[in-house]
Amino acid sequence: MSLSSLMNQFINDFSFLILAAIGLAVIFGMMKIINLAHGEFIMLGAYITTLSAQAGVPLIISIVFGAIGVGIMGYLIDRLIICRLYGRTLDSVVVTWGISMVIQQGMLIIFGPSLQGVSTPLGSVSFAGSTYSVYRILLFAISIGALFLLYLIFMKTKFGLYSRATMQNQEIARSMGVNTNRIYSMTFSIGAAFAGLTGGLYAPTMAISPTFGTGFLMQSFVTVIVGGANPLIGTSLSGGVLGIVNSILDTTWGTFFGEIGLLICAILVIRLLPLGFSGVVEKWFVRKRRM
Amino acid sequence: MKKTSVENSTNKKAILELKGVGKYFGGLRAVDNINLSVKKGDLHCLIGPNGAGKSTIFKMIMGVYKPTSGSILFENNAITNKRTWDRVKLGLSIKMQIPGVYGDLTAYENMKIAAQNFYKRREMNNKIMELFDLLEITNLKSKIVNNLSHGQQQWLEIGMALACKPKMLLLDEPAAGLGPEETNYTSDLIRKLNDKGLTILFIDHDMDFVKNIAKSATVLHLGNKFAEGTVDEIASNQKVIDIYLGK
Repeated sequence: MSLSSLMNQFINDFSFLILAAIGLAVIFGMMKIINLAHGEFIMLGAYITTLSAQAGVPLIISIVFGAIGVGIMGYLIDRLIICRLYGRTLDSVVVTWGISMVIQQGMLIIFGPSLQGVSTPLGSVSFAGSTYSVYRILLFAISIGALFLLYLIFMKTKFGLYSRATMQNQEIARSMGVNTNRIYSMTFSIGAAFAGLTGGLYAPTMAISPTFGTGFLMQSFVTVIVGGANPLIGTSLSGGVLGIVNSILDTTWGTFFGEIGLLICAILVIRLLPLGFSGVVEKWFVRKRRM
Repeated sequence: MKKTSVENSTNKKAILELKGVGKYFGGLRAVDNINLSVKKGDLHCLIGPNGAGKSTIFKMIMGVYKPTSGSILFENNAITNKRTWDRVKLGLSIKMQIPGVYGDLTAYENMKIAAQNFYKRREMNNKIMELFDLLEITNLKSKIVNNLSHGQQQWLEIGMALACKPKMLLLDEPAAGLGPEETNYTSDLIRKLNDKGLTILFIDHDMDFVKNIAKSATVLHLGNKFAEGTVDEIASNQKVIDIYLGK
């Protein structure tokens, strides 16, 4: 196990975990909705991106189309279905599971069992004896950029302030004139758009099929469980820690043990830190601010 | 002969009207066929024993509960089916019974949440500081709200309600849980806001507090309107005294 191959693996794992989890983390962390259709949102992003790219649209714009398309679809799903489930976490599991089946089977009927993909762009570079895919490095940079974008949206905008206020106490937010229904819909839409972005970004690297999103589901849920409810602090910390664990195990013993390592981390965190990493950090901040 | 405040206010337009408003929770009658009119500039109190329906009426005015029957008009516009945030934008603002503040944020951040919807960025800071000065809690602006006393949280919430540019302010038990000094300060604050022209409708149990500030009052009992008039009239009404004493 050389340091460069470990580094290569970490870059892949970190970006995959962050991008797989970010949309789910926004929806769960801000709305307490457990979105079992998350994998299908990622798959739809991949389909929109692939179909756009095949139609001659440049890949980068196709990826943006994927994010925007799934964001719009997320808004509609929220207005039509999810808005009836605010505050009903367990019910949301059943309903989003149903949505996932409808989307997956719908795509199977419309496009068949597979879709011709687009090739991975940008080639590779050699550094310190190892070969790195430039696109994978770009994904690593984009995953950090996505976290920064999440920070800007939820910490630096009027929408972000209202969104945090609504999630803490919707009754107070309403009595301050905040349209909480719109805030919920926008938040769900942003979470869906991040999932669509992930699908679009990974479309050139994986086979496109209606089960495309399934490959992201375990990692995304483990990252959110380990990270806790705060989508920004939780996702970045758990992405980092799980990325290290997974890359060491993956490089040493293979993918199977990497995934076992992720699940063991999730079990340990549920047992020892039930609020996840972000719960610990937030408690520390609150204690510090109160002093 | 000197006119009473109620007589003076009869010439004024009603800002809020409840027409035959009722609310049932299943088979339980919480409010029954209430008619209530609050004039512009009034300082009106809803009083009554526990379970009289006071807080239910406030929640119907703010759109938290939808009335089972009747209609609510604000500035002659029907608001019965409007959402809470739309009512706030029309000029209705509320301070809830339990302080509705964000405990982990600073007092300034709390005010900002309220003010952002109603003021442009440039003028927002000045307006927030103006409200802190009015409430005389400028020294608390950087404090985490969970560290403030109950009274300070109540005043902050009044400030947040004022940051929504209200035409009418609803105060649900503004003096509840306060000590004598804090109660006096709250009375002065409410009078000061009313003197500036703000219409105020409030709920309170403390008759001394009500007598001290209210211009008029409506007494509720078991979801029905029981009496209405000036505070002195209400305080000397034997039937009102009886229901308060449980006779």
